[in-house]
Amino acid sequence: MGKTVKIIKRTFIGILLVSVSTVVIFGILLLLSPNPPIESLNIAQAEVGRAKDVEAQKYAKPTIEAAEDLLAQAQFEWKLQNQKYSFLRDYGKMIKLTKDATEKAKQAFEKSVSLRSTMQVELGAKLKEVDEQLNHFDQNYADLPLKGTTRQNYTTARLRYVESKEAYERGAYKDVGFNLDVASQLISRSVKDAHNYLSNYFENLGKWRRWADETVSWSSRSNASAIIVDKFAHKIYVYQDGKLKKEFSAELGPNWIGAKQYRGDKATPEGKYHITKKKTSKYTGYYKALLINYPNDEDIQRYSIGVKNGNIPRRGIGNLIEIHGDGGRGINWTDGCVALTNNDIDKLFDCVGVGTPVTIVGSLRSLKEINGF
Amino acid sequence: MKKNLMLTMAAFAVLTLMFTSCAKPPEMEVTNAKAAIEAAKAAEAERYVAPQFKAVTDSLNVALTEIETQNSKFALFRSYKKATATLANTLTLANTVKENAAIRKEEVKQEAQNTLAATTTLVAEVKELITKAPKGKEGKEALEAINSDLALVEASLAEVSTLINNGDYLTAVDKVKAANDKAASLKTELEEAIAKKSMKK
Repeated sequence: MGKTVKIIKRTFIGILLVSVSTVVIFGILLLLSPNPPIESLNIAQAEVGRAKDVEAQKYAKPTIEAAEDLLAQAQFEWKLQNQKYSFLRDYGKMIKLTKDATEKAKQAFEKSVSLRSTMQVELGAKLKEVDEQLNHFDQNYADLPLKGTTRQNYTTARLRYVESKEAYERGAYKDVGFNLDVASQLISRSVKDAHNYLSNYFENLGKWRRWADETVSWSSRSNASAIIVDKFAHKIYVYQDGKLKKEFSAELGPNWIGAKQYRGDKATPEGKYHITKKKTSKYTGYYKALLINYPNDEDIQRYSIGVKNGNIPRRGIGNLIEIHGDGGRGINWTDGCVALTNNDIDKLFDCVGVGTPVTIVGSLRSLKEINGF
Repeated sequence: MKKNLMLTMAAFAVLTLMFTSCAKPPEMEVTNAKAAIEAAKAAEAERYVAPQFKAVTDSLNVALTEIETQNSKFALFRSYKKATATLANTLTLANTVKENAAIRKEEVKQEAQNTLAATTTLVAEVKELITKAPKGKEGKEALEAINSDLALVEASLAEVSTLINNGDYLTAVDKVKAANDKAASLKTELEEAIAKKSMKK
């Protein structure tokens, strides 16, 4: 009995010693095991997060995707190492992957910040430029009877510009570019078309100024009154003895840019004319009217050549061009006549007579004086 | 003798406990959190509530790192309590973000639809004003220009409807605001022309 107990006792002591030794050895091995590079991984994750904060997915997509891929590989490597005994683990590859991921994420961050900042500045400047062009068009050309697609392009440019500006203000710079480019192209084209159109028109400036000077000189020499109509300024100037006495606002035909060429073109003629008849309200539907001698010889000659060359429809040259009342509507609405308010036509009626020169010019000021271009 | 026997049994009990009581990683919680994040992503949380969405993904990363940190330890010393708590928080946060994304998306959608409705009304008002505006000799050309602009506004509104139907509400808002601006300016232009006409009478 005593012997059996002794054997059991020795066996248990043996097992106990083996167990304790195992625990001690295991503990030593644990102490000697390498630690996972958690800090390095955290840094990589933080860098990826920082890059995403500045929208790296939009501005440095391939770089941030590479960083995320490296990070995922590092995490996978960690899992692989965790499946091994702790003392057999090697985190070398994981460390390299996290460092590479960190580096890529930093690159993505810097690229995004730089690109965003550049886009913010460049798009902001371009928005300003387009805005200025739109305002320039608004101020100088929007009310002109422009031909073709000029106004349509301007309107489309305005729509695209506002859309771009909205996207810019919410920081969606990537959504700004296309619409802003379209707006820029269209408004540039509209401004260029409008400017070319006016430049061609203003080639007659020398002639208009000569007519105006001749009219003022005649007024001075004859001690009489004379009228000059500046179509671009929408003004009527009344001279007495060569001196400017009165100035009225005028409305014209809708197609007032360019000389009248034929019946129904809704253009106001340009040339040197005179009053042939003063009509009281009994003889006109427009309160009071001063009939002028349109067409003059030059108009007739131009019409004949135009018809002969096929540039003008054979509708007749038109007639009954007057300076009349019923104006003040804020638009160019006549069939080619010059309209004043009834109050103004009353004043004009009193200081002119049959034979008073009426010189109608496109403009007295140059295009540069008008719009700075 | 009895004392030695008790000690030996206790040693066995400890060893048994050492090798049988290892903590299990919260795999189910990870799956649920990831699914919730995917649902938030599907609700376009990245686009409509980007900072919140990032906070959720950060939270998941913290939990996953914590799990692997525990996995690195000797089995007996592992504890997934912190990871489990973080995952529970991630799940809640992801669900909230999904809801917030849906709310924000709905707000933007409403803004797009309301502005579209307001602009459509403006266009109708402009058309009504065109009937009252000076016509014939008095303003036919001006009205033609306004009609041309109005056609462009209407074309833009058609694009807005398509964008709304496609769920691209942010772009729709940008576009409809531009159309609204133009329609409002056309209305003002016509009202001024009509007012001048009335003053003349």
